[in-house]
Amino acid sequence: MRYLLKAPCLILSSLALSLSAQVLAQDLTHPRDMKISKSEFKRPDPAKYQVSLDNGLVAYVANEDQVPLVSLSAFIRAGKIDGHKEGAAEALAEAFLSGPKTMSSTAFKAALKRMTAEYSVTLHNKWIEINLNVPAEDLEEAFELFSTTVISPNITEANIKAAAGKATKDIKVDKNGVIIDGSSSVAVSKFHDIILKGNILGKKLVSSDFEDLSTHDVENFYTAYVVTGNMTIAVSGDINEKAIRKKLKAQFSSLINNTPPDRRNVPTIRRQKNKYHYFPADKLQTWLVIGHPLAPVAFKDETAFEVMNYILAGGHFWTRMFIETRDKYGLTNDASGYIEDQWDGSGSYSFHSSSRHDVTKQLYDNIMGVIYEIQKELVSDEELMIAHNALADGVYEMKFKDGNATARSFAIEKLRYGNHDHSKSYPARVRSVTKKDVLRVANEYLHPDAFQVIIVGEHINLQ
Amino acid sequence: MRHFIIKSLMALIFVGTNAAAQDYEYNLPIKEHIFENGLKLLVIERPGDNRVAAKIWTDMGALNEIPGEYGAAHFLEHLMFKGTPTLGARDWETEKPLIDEINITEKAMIAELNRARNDIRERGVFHDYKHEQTTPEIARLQKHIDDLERKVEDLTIEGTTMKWYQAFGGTRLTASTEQEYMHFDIDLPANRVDIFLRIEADRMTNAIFRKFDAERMILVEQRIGFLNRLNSRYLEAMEALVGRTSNVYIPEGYMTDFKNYTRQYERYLYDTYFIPNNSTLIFVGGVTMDEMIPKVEKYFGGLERKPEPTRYYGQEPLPSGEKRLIYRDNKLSPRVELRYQIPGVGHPDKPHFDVIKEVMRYRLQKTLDDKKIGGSVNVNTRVVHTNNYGLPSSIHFAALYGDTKKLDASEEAMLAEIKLLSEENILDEELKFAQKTLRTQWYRAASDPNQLNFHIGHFEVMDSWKTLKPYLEARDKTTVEDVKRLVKQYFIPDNRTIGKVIPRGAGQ
Repeated sequence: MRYLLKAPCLILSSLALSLSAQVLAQDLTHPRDMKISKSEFKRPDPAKYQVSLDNGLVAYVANEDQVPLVSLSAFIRAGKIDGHKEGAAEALAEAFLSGPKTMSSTAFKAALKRMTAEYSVTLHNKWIEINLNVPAEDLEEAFELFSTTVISPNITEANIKAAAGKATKDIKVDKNGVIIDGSSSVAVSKFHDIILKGNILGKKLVSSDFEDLSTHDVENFYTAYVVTGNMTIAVSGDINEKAIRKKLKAQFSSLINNTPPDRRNVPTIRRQKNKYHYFPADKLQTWLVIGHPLAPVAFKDETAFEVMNYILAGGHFWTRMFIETRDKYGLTNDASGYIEDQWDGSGSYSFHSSSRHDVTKQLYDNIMGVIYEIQKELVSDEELMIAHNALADGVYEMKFKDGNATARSFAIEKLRYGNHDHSKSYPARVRSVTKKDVLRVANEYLHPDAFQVIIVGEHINLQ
Repeated sequence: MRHFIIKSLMALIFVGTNAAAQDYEYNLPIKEHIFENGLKLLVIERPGDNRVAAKIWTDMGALNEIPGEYGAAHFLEHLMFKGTPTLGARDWETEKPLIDEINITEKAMIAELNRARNDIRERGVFHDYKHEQTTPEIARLQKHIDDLERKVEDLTIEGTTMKWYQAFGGTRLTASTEQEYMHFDIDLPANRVDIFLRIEADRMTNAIFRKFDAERMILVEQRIGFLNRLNSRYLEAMEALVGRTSNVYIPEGYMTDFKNYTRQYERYLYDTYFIPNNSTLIFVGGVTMDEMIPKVEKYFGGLERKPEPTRYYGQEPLPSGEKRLIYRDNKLSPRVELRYQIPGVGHPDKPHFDVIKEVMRYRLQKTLDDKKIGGSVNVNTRVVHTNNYGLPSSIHFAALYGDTKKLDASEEAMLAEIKLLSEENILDEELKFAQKTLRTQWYRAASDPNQLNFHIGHFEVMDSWKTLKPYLEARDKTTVEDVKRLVKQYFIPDNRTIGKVIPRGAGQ
């Protein structure tokens, strides 16, 4: 405290002086009155990036030569919910991880290591993505490995065993039923267990589910879903675009152009009556997840829903929920909304937060307060303007911020929607959202009477 | 393909010399301009980029804190989001006297606390005597501050600095405080960079510390969030053993520190360090130096150069003996960890330790697997310290296990492998692979303007932006002899800290 004893008076008086002096010297025009140019961003033309093979495969190629790296990605419309045999998707993901038939898994991993590659296979509920990033000097070898892995993955018993080994494990509790390592992810996992009970989207495989699975089943899954019309490719980085287009044609022309099976019918996740679920955990904080299943959002409501969420709890510093929990009262480090989008079906909408135990009730009340408020009153002109600009000039632009992001965004969009109208019309759709639209979607898609409230931590009566 | 051309030329020029040393080009066309008031501007122009990654760096951090107020620099970063007279005030003319009165009242409260301190000091040292550090006068003054804060609340518009960034397409808005620096970050459409300059010039000059006590609780939340992680307390215990004098080995505030923060100490830090001659603006993206100079001049040019702040001048003493930590915990995976102090950024040996880290990552795992000891090996180095402040960095070798059976064998095998490295040359392919790994890591970071900006600023504060490129190049020039020499020089018992995690009740 030595500074305080020496200098407080001096600090206070000099603060006042320096403040007034600086105010005079600086340009402190309020941001709303500043002459800021419109963003000059124009979405790139997808046609310039697109390569269509005769077999129907569509790829996107983008040069991005700031650094000598290359990214290769495949996106396949097949996920955890697909297929007739449980575990086939999980085992296929393992097969993609172990490389092509033409080499052993050990040799494949050694090659990746030699290239200092980053390689990942991510299995979502409804799609798979394979990503490989390598130095440009290794492009030839990497392209060969990537394409042969996609075209001819090494499906073996070892993949099935590996998938079984990664099957769901129970959350650890002590002898009193107290969660040993409580966390936000534990609370989210409990939320999913509750809202997805009995629904295919909530399936959790255990190791015994893989006992009846054969390599033949995995082969069948691969053959059915990894077909040209059911996947897209993205190649970007420090490349010769012409050479890559040629390579794509040479390597992927053998892929079959079959119609994939119809997707499994996923019933809409049904909303349940509002309920509180308490799970004790011995940590210094309590975690809250408040939410419900989300009905498929109609295309006409999509951007209004995004704008509503952006204002309410959109995962950034300036939301109603953040201000009413963190900024004003110091109740939590974060309180944000999460939309789980299942591409062509229902998902969930939930709000996640955490706090020291003694303020959890106040945190909950404040979260609920802003939710009720956005259902009752129109948002302000300023809130709407900020959400419009943040989404259209910020979030949207970032999806095309460089060649790598552009190739990836177009490849995913094509797989999901079949064309690029969605991204083309997005800025105009966002900017057309009105205050009334926001109020309408807040009431149509948000249902506090169906909230499942998950409390992981110290018991507290929130009702 | 622009860097390939450069590569080829260099390959031609240096034919017959050490090819590994000259084959690679780090494309860092950084332009520098220093304004009259000492403010530094660094720009990497990327024509065609629609956006720009913008950051303002200040040379201050946890190093500048005093005991009892650890985390005060981090707290200052939070307070600097609370607005200024022109951002966040509904009615500044009404608010200003209230803010002044809060500061005067706090001053009186500190005086009363100092007067009463001899009565209450040290009672809580071991938490065996819980006292309230208060007197009736302190309670009265605190209540007065609370009442004033409530009045200020009615005059405040929350989140103003943030919302205007978002209104102009800003993304990745954040800030960070480390031991040596603080920076505020935003990614914007390149033609809207004025909003960054407007807000940041205001933030570094006119910050008002609104919502002081509510924000204090955010640090408590962040601290308990950190302590909730299973390995937090172990890591803090290891840090405390590795270093001796510097704040860098201390967390960003203990629970007892948070309540000590005062507006006046925060104001002291702010007034001392947030001055143009202690700050650097960095832009990477679709802007040019020519267009940035007048823009920066417009918003920052009126700020006066201030006296150079006192720099941290502590010097970590040389290590003088092996240290051991036995950490007992039933939830944390058993592990054995070796740490050695190594030079910080700015020392010529530092880049070679990055190479050693990569070599050791694979060597140790292979050794433990070959000896059927197994375990999950983790090797890393602390990157935040700088030789300019007399602060060593450290390199860590850890192996994690499901039980304690192999901990002793693991320690023995890791020490034997380190000894071997001091006696024998590593293979040339090991060296080349480690160097390639580091290059790829760098390219991945540099591909993102935001990360590239971070690395430039990190070096500028720790050493100089001019040494970033030589640092990267030096890693490509590391030789097998360098590895052997440095292992022999630094990985000695007296410079070693060994940590072991075992269950409670074991080893007693």
